[in-house]
Amino acid sequence: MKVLVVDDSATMRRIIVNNLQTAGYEDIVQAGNGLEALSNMAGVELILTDWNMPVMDGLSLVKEIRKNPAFGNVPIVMVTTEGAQEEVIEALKQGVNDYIVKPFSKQTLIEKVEKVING
Amino acid sequence: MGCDQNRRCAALSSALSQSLETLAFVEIMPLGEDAPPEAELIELHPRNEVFWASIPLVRPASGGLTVVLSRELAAMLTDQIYGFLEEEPTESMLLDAVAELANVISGQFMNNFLEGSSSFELGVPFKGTSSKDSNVDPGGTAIERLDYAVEGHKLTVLLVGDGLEA
Repeated sequence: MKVLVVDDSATMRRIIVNNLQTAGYEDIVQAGNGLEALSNMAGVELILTDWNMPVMDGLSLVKEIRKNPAFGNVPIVMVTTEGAQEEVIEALKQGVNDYIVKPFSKQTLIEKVEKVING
Repeated sequence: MGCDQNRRCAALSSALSQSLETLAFVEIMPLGEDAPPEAELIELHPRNEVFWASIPLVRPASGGLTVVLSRELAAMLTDQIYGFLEEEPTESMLLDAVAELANVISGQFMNNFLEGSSSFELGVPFKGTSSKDSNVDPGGTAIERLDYAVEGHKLTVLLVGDGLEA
């Protein structure tokens, strides 16, 4: 399964990639913002994206993906610091499949990933 | 007044321990008036060069949260966060890790302080290095300053802002 990890922090991308790799996900591509992510969508079957990023934020990325029939059904997990209920509702309304608040454990990340893949 | 008597301080302290334990798998020990008796036994390494990162708090409060730590502690936490590096971390990697740590602490602090009842907005981090603590500008007079011992090194968090009444 090809996974796209989108975050402006190289550190957070590394954390997510490490966790995914130890759970057996090997085909992983990375992007530093939403715009970069849109040009790396070929073959992607799962997206994990930050919300707050320069150039194009995570919510704008979700809207762009959901507008595109080619990628409209790709599961998306938002990984962010914003944990308020209204933020979660807004993200889900725009088409995010699930939501993880930082800091998170490896177990939480993998559980959410498997839930959206199997969901 | 101890941190447990101050809602803002308690939210910050909790955010710090949650973030460091989850991201870097380290435990922290408060210094100062909240220090446990065993803290007296700790010999802290000197901070000859500091790495710092500040996260602007944009909404609903305005201000900033700054994390200050030594190069040695930054390197140790980066190694832990990255899952043990094979190469020597560059200064850019250390600063990115400190900035992400500050970002996660800031988010967790706002979630704790607002009790998840309202949304908030954080700004893009800014970061740097300095030859000494006193050169780090948190952007105003700190309304909270917490010092912690992490594996024999001091880590400081400074909170500046309006709309964050304890």
